[in-house]
Amino acid sequence: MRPDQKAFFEAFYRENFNKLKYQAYPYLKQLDQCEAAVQESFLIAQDKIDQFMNHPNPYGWMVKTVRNVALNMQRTQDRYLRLCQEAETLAQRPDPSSSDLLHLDFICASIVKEEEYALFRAITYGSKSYMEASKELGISPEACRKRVQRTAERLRKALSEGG
Amino acid sequence: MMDEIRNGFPKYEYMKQMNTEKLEELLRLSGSEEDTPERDEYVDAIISELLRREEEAPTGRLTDVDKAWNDFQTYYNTPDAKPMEVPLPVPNAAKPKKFLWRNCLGIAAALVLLCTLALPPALGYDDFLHMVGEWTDDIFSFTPAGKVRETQSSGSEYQTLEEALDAYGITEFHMPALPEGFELVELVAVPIAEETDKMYITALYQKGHDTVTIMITENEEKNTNYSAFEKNDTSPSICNISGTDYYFFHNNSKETVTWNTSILKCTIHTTLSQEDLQELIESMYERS
Repeated sequence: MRPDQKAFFEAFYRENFNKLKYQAYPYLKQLDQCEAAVQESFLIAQDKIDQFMNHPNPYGWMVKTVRNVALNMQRTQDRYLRLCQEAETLAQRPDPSSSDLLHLDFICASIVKEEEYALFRAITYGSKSYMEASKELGISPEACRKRVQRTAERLRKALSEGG
Repeated sequence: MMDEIRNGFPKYEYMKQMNTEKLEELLRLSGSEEDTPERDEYVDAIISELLRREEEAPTGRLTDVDKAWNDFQTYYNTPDAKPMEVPLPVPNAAKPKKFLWRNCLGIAAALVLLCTLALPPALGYDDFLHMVGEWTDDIFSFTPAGKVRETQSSGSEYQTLEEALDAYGITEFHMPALPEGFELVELVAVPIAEETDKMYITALYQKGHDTVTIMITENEEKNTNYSAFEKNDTSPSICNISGTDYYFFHNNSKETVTWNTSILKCTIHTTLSQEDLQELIESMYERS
């Protein structure tokens, strides 16, 4: 980004972060997830800085982007939740709120590693945000998201093949 | 919005009487409402009231912006960061213009022909009235009855379009033979809406400055999808192959062909010529 773009971007970020966070709230319902949606949206805005800055209404552009990101996150979360429930129903594990993963042998043995499933589950049930998990693992939220995505994909394939 | 935060939204004065939890509940419920200017104003009013309260008496709901900025620079804006792929707002998006018969007899004649050709037995549609092509001077669309649904996108881990089609059990689309040298540069496969396993798949192939984009959307029940394409002011040409109508049109130096089957809505955009595009379509039949 050019210096003028950087200055615009940071000033806009600081002025609007919390307003935008609430714009994600109708879809994500949890403020920490809304915060992640806004951060993701700013990453998009940075990537499309010309489009964003030159838009007649940059705030409106950003609101729509935040909503689309939030909707995307919400749908991904819903898909993960269905996967999790399907996997755990198959594992005959009656209490999905428990953090005990010992009975998930069938999942962890051949499809995904236990720590991968634990991360996937924590993200899916909202007990950890991508930011929290990425800080714990010492990786970026993007890398963390990729790990969860890969786990979900392996589970989906295994369940569709097995089902 | 800052003026509103300072001065409030007179229409929504009643929100000042509500407690914060009730306001948050209203905000949560607004997510299921249709995206309209009225809904936007209503949401802005709730947000402005929530922000006003937090400024007056902080409860920790607001994020420390310095910390958020630091997190953004440290954890999000990293060399491996890949921005999420979502539809972006477009300024002055083209809107369909009202169709005027008297302005273009040729288009009228083409529409009549299209209606004649679009008989359900020939096309295999259950409900053809909801699946005919229509166009204005600058928009071509398949217009279904029902509500427009948004499509969200995200990355895909499939290596080829064929792999994605296999994974989702889509057998009705036959891969065209792309000219030599085209390589897949982007592939996205996502559900078309919540609570559905119907997919939207798009694949972008590139060779130098030339591109071929293939988009496949699985139809929802009752054809609740809507698709529209910008086009120039000439009518699309229609080519019927084995009972399927292919609509060819040109816009912004790109050629497009779009067609429907009973379960798919398919489109190919390309910088190649219309003749090349026709060859792509024909190659699908040679391969099937």
